Amino acid sequence: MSHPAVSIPLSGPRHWLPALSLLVSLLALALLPGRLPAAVPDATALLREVDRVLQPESFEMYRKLINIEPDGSRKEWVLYSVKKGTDNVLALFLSPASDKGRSTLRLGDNMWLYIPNVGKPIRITSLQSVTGGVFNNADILRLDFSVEYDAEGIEEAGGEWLLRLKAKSGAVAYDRLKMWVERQRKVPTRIEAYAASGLLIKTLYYKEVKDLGDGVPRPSVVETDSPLYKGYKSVMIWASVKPRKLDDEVFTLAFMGRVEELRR
Amino acid sequence: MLGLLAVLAVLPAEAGAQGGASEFRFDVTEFDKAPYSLDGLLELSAADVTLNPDGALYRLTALDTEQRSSVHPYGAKLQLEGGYAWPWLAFNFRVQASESRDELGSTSEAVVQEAYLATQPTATSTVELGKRVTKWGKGYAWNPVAFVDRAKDPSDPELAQEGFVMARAEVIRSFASDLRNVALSLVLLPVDGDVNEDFGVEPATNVAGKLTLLLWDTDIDLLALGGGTRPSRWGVDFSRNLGSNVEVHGEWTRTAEAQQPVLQPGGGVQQRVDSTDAWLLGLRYLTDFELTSIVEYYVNEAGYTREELENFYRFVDQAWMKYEVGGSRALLDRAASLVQGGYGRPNPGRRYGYLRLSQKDPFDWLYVTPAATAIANLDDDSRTLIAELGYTGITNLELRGRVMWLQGERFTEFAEKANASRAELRVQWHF
Repeated sequence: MSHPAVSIPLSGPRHWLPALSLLVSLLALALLPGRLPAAVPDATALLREVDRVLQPESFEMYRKLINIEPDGSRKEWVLYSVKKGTDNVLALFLSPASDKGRSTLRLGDNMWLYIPNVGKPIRITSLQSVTGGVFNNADILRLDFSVEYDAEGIEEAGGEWLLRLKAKSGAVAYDRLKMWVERQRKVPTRIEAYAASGLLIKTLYYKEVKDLGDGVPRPSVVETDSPLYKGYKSVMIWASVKPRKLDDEVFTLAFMGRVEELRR
Repeated sequence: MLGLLAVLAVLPAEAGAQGGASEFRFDVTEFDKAPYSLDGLLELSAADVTLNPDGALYRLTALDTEQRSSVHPYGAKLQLEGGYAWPWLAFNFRVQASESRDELGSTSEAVVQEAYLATQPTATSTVELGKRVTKWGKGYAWNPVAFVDRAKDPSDPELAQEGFVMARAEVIRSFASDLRNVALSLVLLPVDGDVNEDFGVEPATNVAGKLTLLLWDTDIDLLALGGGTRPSRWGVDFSRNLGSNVEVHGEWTRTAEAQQPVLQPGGGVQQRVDSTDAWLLGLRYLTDFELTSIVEYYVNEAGYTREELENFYRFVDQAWMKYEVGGSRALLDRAASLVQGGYGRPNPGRRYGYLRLSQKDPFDWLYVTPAATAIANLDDDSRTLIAELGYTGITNLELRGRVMWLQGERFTEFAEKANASRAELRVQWHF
């Protein structure tokens, strides 16, 4: 944004006061919201703030996942999840009955699926989906964004901050993200996920900011669609997010068949 | 006040529910924890089986039944799984009852697959006592390091299995280093009379252990079994993700002084006693278009060579001809005893290949998964081919149709099985 040059006489009281008045007026105008570009925050710091707005560092929560087909029919799952530190996530399927007792564990880039009938954890990859639909394992067992992505740039876009993120390694599900963030609450409103080829894989829409039980307003609904699944939509609803301290041993392969013991 | 009441009156009913969304309902109180659990599975299945009357295993298993070219079995299976948890003790069980009928008759059975007590002396340790399934190993189709498991069926590896009666203790530790997790599991598995009679004959207690490490982002297990009813053995397995869509795994084991009955060309039986290795390498790969490939290569030195298997199948063929001509079944009975001794294992050979391709949601059909599987004896070039179509789009209902063909030259493994092909439809309802 360019501003008109102002010539300010430096001497003579008659001319000095109107000039000062003009300067003050211009400054006041410039300081009105939307008239002057706000100071651009540090992209990495903003990304960390977004992480904390989305979820506490260590917590337990309940989620419902809904896959919606083009004809409107739905399939739903309910998961109990716990997270500790930056890269330990464990989730247990509570519903439907066909998936009850399954658990998934993520330690950094490592992921496992435990199926009661199979009786042992098997390694899975971030691009697979334990539920089917648009959400993949990386979405369901999501780590903090700042753990997996470097903030490469930030700019203003439509009254929001647009963060451009690049995966730290090839093991991360999406090569690049574009993340639109509300300025005031530091809440993401939309994330576009791209493959290394530049192909748009999916778009995530964060909605309905509310207190989920720990006193911090967070988005409670994420909807996603994908050009790869035309007409399909997946939705994730958060509930009952509560800080919780857990032993490190909870996040081990040997514990995957016992996650139900954590629920209170 | 009236205005406030008016506003409250038009709020959506779910708005007060924890986690409720304007468009999607989620009442988390429906999932409050209860001390008990009970879940069930009802399975109905029907099949069209083309028998293989010239196959050695058909001749041995169908000796006393009506000779047919096909059967059409159908049946039902009910599985109940549940438990009750007290503050310091938990009881868990899984029982299965099934009935199957075909033109030759019917069979029914009820099996307690698991029933055990579990307690946690400390937050990081567990002790279990009772009938329990342990699943050791990283392979999908085969697990040479599964020392205290029942052998699984490579054509349907995810079927629920029956456990063994055992005492098991496990300790877990976690670290903030390259070595992230360590878990030590010890198993005592007794054999005595009717207790674990499938695991040996003479009364003895088997001791087995597994040390699990998550080291450098790689799952590693060190395993051993000794001192009991089976030859001592030890082994190692691993699994690691090489990227966001590739996983590799492997297993290796050595069995000391394993005995194997081997049919000699003259018809005599020799016990081969040797230390043998078995190993497996596998890979799981997911393409951009969500085709999952599982490839495994399995070598079992304790298995029979191509010549040994061919010799056995020719022996059965000659025994059958003698039975048809003279009515003597002595040779067939000897062959039948060898089936129990090793020739009748699901995969009695030495080298196998496994390939499974499954495509998730083809043509945007959500919850539809077509799959193709090939299991091949790489020494005699015989194989099983399986085409499969699964559908899980209806909540708690799983449909699976599959057709299986067994192919090979005469006197090769899959050409001598009891069946030539099998088409089946299975419906599972979870409740």
